[in-house]
Amino acid sequence: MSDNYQSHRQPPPFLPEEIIFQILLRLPVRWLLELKRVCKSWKTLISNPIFTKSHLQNLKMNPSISHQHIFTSLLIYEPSKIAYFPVKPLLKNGSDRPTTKLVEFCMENRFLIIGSCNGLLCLFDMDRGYVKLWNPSIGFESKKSPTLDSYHKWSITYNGFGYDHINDKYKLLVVVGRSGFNYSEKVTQIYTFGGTSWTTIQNFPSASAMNFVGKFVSGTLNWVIIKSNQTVILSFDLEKETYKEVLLPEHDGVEIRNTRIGVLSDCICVCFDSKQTYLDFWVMKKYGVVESWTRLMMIPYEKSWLRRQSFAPPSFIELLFIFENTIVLLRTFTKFVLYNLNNGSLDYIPDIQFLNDHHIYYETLVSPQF
Amino acid sequence: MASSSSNLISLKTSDGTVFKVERALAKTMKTVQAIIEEADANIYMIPIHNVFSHHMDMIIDYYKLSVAGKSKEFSVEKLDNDELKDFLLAVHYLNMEDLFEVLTQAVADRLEKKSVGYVRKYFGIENDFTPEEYAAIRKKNDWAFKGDDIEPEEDEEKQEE
Repeated sequence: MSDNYQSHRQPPPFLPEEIIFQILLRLPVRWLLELKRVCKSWKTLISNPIFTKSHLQNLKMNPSISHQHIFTSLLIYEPSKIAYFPVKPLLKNGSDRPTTKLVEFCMENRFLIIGSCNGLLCLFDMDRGYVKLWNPSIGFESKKSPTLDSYHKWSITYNGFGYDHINDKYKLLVVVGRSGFNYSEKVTQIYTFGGTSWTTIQNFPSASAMNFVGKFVSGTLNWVIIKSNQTVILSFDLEKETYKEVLLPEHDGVEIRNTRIGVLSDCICVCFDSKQTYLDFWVMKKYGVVESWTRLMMIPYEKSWLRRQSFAPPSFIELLFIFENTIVLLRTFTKFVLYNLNNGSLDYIPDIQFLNDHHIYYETLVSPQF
Repeated sequence: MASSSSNLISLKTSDGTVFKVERALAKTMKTVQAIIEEADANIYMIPIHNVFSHHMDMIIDYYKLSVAGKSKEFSVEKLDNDELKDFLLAVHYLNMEDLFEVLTQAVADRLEKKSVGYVRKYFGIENDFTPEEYAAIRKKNDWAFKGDDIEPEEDEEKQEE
């Protein structure tokens, strides 16, 4: 090819800014931060909120496992810590896989991570009762929210954090015990970041959700709840601030008794225990459309590790990632498990045992101003 | 593949070579498509400025691979940096969305993990920061994430004025 190319061009080809923009969109955050040093116009370009938005859109359309991490709140420490480990090294073969180490951030207060969305972590100060947003990729911290009224720590039950793309607002929902005799009266509150107060909304319509943290999918927060004889998904629309139910798929098996919602490419995924012979994973390809439930994969039970598992509460199975249609990363109560769809090998990450919570995080430049 | 002449479009590159391409390929070039649509009569030959015959060769390679569902096999590894930039400009001129994405990603991949000095040279950009401004940005960019990835190479030139 170089033979054909006569170097009759003396100065190297000069790329116009619109092309440079397209190239920079495809770079990860940590390099973009470095590249602010190239020249003033690049610093302006990369700092521009329009660039941030386009960069985020590109990430969502072309998701990559690089620069994705799993964050967790380590509340037992005093002062508490927030830690993470990157996802990509987990997908290497057993012997090539480096030891997974949690990288820790020491926090000034005891923070619980409520959720992760668009590169922002929503942190709840357990002692003081306020929330704030944090983007660790760029060191952004938002203003603190007002504190929850009559808040008593540890009385938060159901909660969730997400993004209302219609109004371009980040919001969270918490169900909290009212101060009083024994905090048994619950009230449901919403906070819209940038706002001056929490709003009380219609009560969370269930006392028997399978877990506290709602999963953010397609503009909604989701929990699996038990209703008389049936389990369904309770869906909270972040923009309308209303609840609705979404049916689980019809299937032969029984739900794992502590069914957790997994999220894959902004789609809900659930797992069923099919007659104790295999684990059956289904994904809802179009949010809210029950007919779009599709079987994703089955993992046979004969894997001895699986047979030894009990899926009774508190244990659960949650699907975290599928990498190149080959390797699946799952989480149970105590372990992170890797399953290879091609050769059926099952392995677990030895260095990461019990984590209180886990939040999938991907690096962005997002730093909402309010 | 039998094709009547009305299914082929003639494109003439900057270096005077005429390529007869299928209408479907010409459709992926929005610039060419616009020229065809604006022409009153059937246009005989379309000149494509800024596009050389070696660019057309690669464009045709990519087209054949994507029709066969093998667009992932297309590689620009053998192009040096200037050749890649040149090709990117040609594809940008022709307004070919998919191939443009492939090439911008290829450039992004080449730049990742390179130093700021390297990037400046690559784009032919001058450092217009004062030493104080430069030091201020540098300080703000302490990696928030430590320990996993390789850090980019240190700047070759410390701070030029």
